Amino acid sequence: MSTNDLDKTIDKLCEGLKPVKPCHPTRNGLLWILLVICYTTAVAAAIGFRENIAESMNKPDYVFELVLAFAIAISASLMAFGLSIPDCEKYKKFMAVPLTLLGVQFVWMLERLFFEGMGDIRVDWLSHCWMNTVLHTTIPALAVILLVKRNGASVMPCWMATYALIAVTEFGWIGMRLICTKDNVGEAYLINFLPYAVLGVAMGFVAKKLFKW
Amino acid sequence: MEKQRETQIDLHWKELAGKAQKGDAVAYRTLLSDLIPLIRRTIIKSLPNPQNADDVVQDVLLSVHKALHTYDPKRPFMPWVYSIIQFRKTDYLRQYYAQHDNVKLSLDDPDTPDYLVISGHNGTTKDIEEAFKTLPDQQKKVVELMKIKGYSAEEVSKKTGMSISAVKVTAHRALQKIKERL
Repeated sequence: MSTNDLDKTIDKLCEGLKPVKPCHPTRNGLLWILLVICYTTAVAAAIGFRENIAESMNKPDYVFELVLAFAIAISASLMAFGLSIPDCEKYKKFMAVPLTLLGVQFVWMLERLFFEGMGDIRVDWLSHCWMNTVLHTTIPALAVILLVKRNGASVMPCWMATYALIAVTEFGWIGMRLICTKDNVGEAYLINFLPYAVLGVAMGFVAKKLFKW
Repeated sequence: MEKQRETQIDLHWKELAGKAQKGDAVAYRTLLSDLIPLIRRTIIKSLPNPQNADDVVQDVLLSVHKALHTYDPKRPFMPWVYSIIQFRKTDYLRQYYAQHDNVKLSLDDPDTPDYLVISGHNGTTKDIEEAFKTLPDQQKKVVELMKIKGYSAEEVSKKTGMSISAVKVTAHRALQKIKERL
């Protein structure tokens, strides 16, 4: 490689230059959040909201869980899109927000597990819950991958993938809480979160290749 | 003064990048050409084989091209380009050290060749000579033998009667002193 080769590279890059629109990660993130909220609501409505949804909305624990999951989902989405561009310094200082909220959710789960125990788990949970989970998360996951790959160029692909996974997980989990009547820890946390744990491990292996640019 | 100069350069590159995003090939060519010395300067010290620096420079230029749409013209240009440089440099080093037989050289090791340690200009030859003169005799002797005459630490140890580790420590301290005085 010589200076001449670098000049040739510059020539080629200049020849192929086309006008580009500067991307706005926050705007993309908000767009994705809006789409996922609409999608999750539509899927929940199509499958059918849980019979006792009105009654559940009066339970502070249920509402707290939903609000907490929503806060995690929103903050993780914005982080994922924020980290999708090279100059992500201004977003880095907020990296702890979704993780702290996730920690709160984990402590909440442990607290419930300690006082209430696991509760009953249905025998047919594999076919029933996992199918709904897949339905809730596939499209949002594909959408975030597509948006980030098309509009982004991340220098922190693993962190970005982690936040995207947390966001998809929490939105999917909210969707499940809207349709599944079982609120016990075994079903609500273990069974409904398990697919995401599997997905997370798989994502960890492919994140760098998936978001390579 | 230096900071003001950097800000001026940043503003200039910011303007060029903004024009490049609108399809101005002339501004883009100027920007990419201007970036080459900056990229080279940033990466050269970390590379185990500086002769491959231009490969990394080329990678960075291609990455700048691919990521041009991610630059926000309202934000400073330097942090954006530095992120890309660091990312590509890390990529290169990861690949390099993953290959068998590649041994990492420490820049603090007195046996490390000079061209790896002194890649930038911290001072003129005259400044270095002045700083060298202020060293204690023993340090001066070790530096002279190792860095000017090119003897290894082991050979210097035999010549001076010092242990090899003492030679290395003396050379390291002497270089540090010279560096501080420049």
